[in-house]
Amino acid sequence: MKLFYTELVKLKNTFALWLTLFGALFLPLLLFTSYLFEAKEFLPAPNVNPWYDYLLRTFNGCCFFSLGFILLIIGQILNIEHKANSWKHLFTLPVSRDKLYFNKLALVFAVIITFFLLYFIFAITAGHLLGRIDPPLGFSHGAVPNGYILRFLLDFFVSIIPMIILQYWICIRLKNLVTSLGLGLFGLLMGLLLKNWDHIIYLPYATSFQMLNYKETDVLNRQNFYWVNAVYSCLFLALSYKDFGKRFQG
Amino acid sequence: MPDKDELIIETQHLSFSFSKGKAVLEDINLQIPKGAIYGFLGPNGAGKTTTIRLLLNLLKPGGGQIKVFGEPIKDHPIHAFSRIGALIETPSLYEHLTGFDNVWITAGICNIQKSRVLEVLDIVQLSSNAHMHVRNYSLGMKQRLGLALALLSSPDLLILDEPTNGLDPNGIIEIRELLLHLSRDHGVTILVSSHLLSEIEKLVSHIGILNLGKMLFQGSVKQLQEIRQGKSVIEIDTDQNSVAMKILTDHQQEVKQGAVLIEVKYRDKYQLAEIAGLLAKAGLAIYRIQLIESSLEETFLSFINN
Repeated sequence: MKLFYTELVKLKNTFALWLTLFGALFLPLLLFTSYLFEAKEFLPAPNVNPWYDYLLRTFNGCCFFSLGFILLIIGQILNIEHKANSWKHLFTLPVSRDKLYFNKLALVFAVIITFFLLYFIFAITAGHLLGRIDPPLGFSHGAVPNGYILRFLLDFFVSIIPMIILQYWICIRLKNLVTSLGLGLFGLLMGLLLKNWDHIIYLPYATSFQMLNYKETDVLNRQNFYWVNAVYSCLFLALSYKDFGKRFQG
Repeated sequence: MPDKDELIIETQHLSFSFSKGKAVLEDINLQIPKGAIYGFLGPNGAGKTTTIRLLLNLLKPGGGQIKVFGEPIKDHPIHAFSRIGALIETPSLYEHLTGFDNVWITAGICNIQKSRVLEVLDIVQLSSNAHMHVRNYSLGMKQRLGLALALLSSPDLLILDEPTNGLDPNGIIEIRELLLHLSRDHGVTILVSSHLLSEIEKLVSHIGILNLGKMLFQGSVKQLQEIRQGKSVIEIDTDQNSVAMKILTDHQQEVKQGAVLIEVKYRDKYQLAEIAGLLAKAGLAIYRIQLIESSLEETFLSFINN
């Protein structure tokens, strides 16, 4: 736990920390201002809960925009070590490479989870605020569909785990933040271009785009989806861990 | 008392290459005894940092064996690292954090108490700047902070790659005194690489000279002094140099005609008195008789150039 805490200390005064906060705020703020200034466009039909429509936009924003922030956050976290040229120092301390690898990965996941939690906290708070500021939008009448949010979060998070591990590996290996970020964005672009391809599920950077227009009633090929992501996650984890432990020289 | 015969670092036929067929290190047999301050000398590109990286298991050797504390480093690196403090090239510092945070992070990883963090900051005289961001530190302060990181675990072995880089003369003296204190009073074995020959001369008990990946000399300072002494000459000028040369040759002195003066190979301090006596007895007027000692720099250069 102390090792994880030292990783947290390294985040002090870094861009990664601000990016987590402001990146999570970006889309909810955009949605909030759109709803506020174009309220007529978003008035719900009678007896329709406006939260579903609002959350769908929030989810789509998550699929489109959040991934860029995630890539940047991973890059920034690893760049702390590259910038300090500190791998060589860490590798000469009495701590195993396994611990260094998994603690850093745990930090990456912790920051990403924080990012999404903040994203949804901001989005739901914005919805409630809209309900108070502009009652005809109906946010204060309908209940927040928590199950819908949780189901999306679970599916979405599962879909991005392989991408996170792969990007983590790339960012360890490439000292240049622009190169690693460029590779990640290229992967996302390919995923977006090929999102209607039959075998898109096999492209790690594209699986999150399957979550676009996520409906609560959707019954996706869920088992296959989980299996593919689980296999990819294990594969990337095993390869990157082996590479870090045996070949990476810092 | 430390066992002087015990080798803290030992390499046997160590070799390394970054690409096939282009050896960076060849047949390096380092022997660093316990309690020694070992100066690792060599010009840029000689392979000093590569050797240090190999000793610290940061690179895998192409051949040979590395033993630290009597055990192969690759077998028990973590156990060995708990007794080693290292500073490789430029210090690894998180510039967005304070000096204290930097040392605290390493302390956290090594499970070391906060009191020791304050202690090492005090040793390297950074206590008053401990809460300043490292990006505002001078080069010398960064170097001292790097040294604080190396000293944090109270190591038995310190491996320092160019530790006086960027330090002013006062800083260099302070670091030298600190290293001498650690060696003398705490029995810490120190491997220090440097290109500052004059600095090494004042600090070390053993020297290794490396060039183009090959070990040219390894031994105690005393052994090096003997070599230096062998390269020293006595310059002589008299009113009749040819007669002086004959007299000295007849008395088993190794004499040769230098560019201007006569040169006699130096043996010991009594030799000067002996030569002066012989020449005076022969009635020669002596204009000059002077011992020209070979400096460490000249000895070093003679190794490199040969």
